[in-house]
Amino acid sequence: MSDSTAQSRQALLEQAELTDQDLALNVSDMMNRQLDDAELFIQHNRSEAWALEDGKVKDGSFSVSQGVGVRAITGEKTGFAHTNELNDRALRKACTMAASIADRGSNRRAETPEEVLFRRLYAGGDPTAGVTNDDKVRFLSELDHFTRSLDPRIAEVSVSIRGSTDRVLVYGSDGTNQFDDRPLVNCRIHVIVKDGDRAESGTEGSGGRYPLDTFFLDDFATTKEMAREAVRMAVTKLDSVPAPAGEMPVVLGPGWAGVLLHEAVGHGLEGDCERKHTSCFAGKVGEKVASELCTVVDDATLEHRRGSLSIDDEGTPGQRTVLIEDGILRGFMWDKHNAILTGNQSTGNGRRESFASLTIPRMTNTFMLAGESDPEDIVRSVTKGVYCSAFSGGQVDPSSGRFVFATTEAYLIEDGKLTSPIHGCMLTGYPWEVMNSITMVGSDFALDPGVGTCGKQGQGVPVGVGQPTIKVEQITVGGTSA
Amino acid sequence: MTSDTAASDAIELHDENVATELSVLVEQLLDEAKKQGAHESSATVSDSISVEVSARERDIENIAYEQGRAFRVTVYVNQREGTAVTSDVTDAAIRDTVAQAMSIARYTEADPCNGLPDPDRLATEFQNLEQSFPQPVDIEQLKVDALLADTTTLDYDPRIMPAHGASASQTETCAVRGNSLGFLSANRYTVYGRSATALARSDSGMQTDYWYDQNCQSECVESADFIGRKAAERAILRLDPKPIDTGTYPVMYDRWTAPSLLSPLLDAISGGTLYRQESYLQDSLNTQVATKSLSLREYPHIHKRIQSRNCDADGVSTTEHTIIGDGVVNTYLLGTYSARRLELASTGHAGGVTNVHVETEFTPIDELLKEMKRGLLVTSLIGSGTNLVTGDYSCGAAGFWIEDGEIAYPVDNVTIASNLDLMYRGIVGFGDDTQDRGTFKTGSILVDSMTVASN
Repeated sequence: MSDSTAQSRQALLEQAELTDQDLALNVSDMMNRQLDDAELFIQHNRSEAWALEDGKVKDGSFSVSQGVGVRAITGEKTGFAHTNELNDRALRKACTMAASIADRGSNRRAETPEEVLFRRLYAGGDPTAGVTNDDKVRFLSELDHFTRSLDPRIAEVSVSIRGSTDRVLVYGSDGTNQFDDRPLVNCRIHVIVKDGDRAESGTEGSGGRYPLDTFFLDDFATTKEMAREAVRMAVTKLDSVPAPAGEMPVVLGPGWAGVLLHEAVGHGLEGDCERKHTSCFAGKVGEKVASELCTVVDDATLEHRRGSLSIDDEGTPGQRTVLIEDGILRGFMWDKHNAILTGNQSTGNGRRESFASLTIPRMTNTFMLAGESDPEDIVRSVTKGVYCSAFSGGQVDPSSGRFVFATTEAYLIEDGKLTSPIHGCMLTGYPWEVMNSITMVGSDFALDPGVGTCGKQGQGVPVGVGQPTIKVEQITVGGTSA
Repeated sequence: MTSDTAASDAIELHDENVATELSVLVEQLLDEAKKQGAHESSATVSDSISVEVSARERDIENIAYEQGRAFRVTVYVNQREGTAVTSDVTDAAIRDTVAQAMSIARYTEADPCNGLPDPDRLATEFQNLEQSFPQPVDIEQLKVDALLADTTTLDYDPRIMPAHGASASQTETCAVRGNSLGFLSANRYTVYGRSATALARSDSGMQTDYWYDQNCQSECVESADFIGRKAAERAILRLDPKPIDTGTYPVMYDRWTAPSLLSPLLDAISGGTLYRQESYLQDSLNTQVATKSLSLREYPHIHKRIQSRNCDADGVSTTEHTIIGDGVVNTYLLGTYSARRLELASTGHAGGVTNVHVETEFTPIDELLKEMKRGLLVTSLIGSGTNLVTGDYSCGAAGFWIEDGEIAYPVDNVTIASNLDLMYRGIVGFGDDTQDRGTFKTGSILVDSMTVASN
């Protein structure tokens, strides 16, 4: 552990009015209750947000969330208690409540804590440090002026920036003693354009685990590009026509479209679904589940990415896990608890929204690797279909596999060319049908700009997605033009 | 002493004085804000305690105890606003939190619409809405309930497989809100809940469904075995779906999905959406936006309902009123800030609506199905594909195909699409099968025509 990280860890403990001895004693006391596993998760999250709308920087907020979550495991059972009161008395009480789950003998004892070395994928510390409040306000105002200057049809602009630092300490009876300091920033630009009685919106954002001043570099070069993109998207849609309805070929553009993979295969490959046999992929490792053009990975180890984790919320170092290789299902994403119960190893996918939520297996950055097709050839190959380039999100029922995702920018493809923009609409399908009907995979791999949040069991966590341009031969397009 | 008793002993429920204790904290926050130079301020302190037990495969899976307290303070300095939130409950945090809010207010720009509500709009009468029915945590009873719901699900039919199980929970919350105009209001409520999920399997694949109920009174929650049976029954009915032809058909939202048909209408006439010019219903006050047969009336003060409240999030008193009358927008839904932006008066809707009842001529549900004759009955929706700016609507759906006014077979993996404007004008009937579990009291709703896309 570097000096600054050690200091940051120490500061977290001091804020919590706890010492390493308190942690050790509470964990070993819990293990005396005959548990299989006991774990403490201490967290301090500081975040600030600034927003501009109607030409004014009128919203600012600052928030601190801190607390400790205590988990006690016996077999398949979990006892969980959390409190935002941070001191030894409150911790002891939470430990007692969590440990009450114990219902059978286990002679396990707490192991000596040991820090496992891992690669740091982002710098710790406050990502907003070094940016004054004056800078933030000026940035929002200038970006607003710039955006409004792009098109006379702009009726409303809102811009926001947010930065947070999340310090977590995981201390467990299995010897885990890991600390991570995770920065996260994002910037979002939203515009409304009006032309006669038509109105449309466009949104662009980006973010990741890097300093907030990244958005300010080179005279706001990257954020100005985002503004242009938001305006272009909104203006384009002013001319949109009703989307078609029914099953047809769909070409998905690079980057954000990876939300398809996230919904269609990602959730079904989370280890809890495998253990509980609630996934349509359960028990299918080694079987063909997608076209042989598809290789899908979950990779927590990309530097500075929104979905990346140096360690997960159980202290396991972030990893790259191949989920599907050349169409064959290779494996699932595991947290410790589900992995132990099924004889697997954690893949570093144990995540929780905060100390107040239970850890469950979750994705990090999930994407499809590049193929060999020229993206232009992919569009040229479609006689009649739809091209989708921007999405607002999706949802899946992992057991039936049925998933949906909503396009926010899409075009008709007619005789191999993009023609009219179409209204936003839902796409829906079953994973095995859609994944097996991927007939072309482009060479233009891209990750999303870093704006994704995944929700599962009421818990939101930052994630990344990505893919090259792909062609899906048959998927249901939910437009109005039957 | 068994381990469970030890835990139950450790759960300290709110005592009678919790509201007083939180009120003191609110006063402290407001005093501190004044001391640090705020011209006006408001503060909220909330404290909640909850226990949830879940069962799976006929055994207890999780027991979760939660206790949390949070402060929120908003300060105004020359109509500049700053907000800070913290879950740090130490005394030093009060000073620091206010200081953070003040530092933000120093940098934001003045907005004449900012500030506390006009004093004469603040609620002064607080009736006891009877939302708090605390009872000691009985872990054993919660375990029995969760296990019974899970077991009933599993025993319902051999095609039911173990899945995510069932749960029983109890929550107690106290929130106190105050502002520097002397307004102070305490709100205590309890929530008891039970839920079950069911996974059904047949040769054609798996289907899941769920059922839940919640209420502020423990004895009013549907029984654990009823919840378990209902979840299983719903999943079984969805097995072996058949494809349908893509086309334009009548679509009926059943009484449980009808609220999600109606809620975009309220979103489209909400202050925030309107002043940001994000609504397809800009300038719609007193205009016809839906079928004449649709009226929506709000009743904020119904006793023993979790959604009821005396005042909105700004402290403005709530009143009973018609939101949509015979298809016409009678009022926008405005909080203090959005009302000032639109040069109107607050309607007491900061934080949303309370209890909204569909008031119309209801048709017996069987007759309504017969009237529909042939089309899609929607019982489950997935994904959010509503664009309020344009009114474009596209959503994933599952349900049943209706032929000759009767259920023919289950349908899965379709989308239903139209435009909100056409949909609300195209409502042709309301079923008498009303339910009022959440915000809306409504029966099934029949829309004359939507595009259904299928594979």
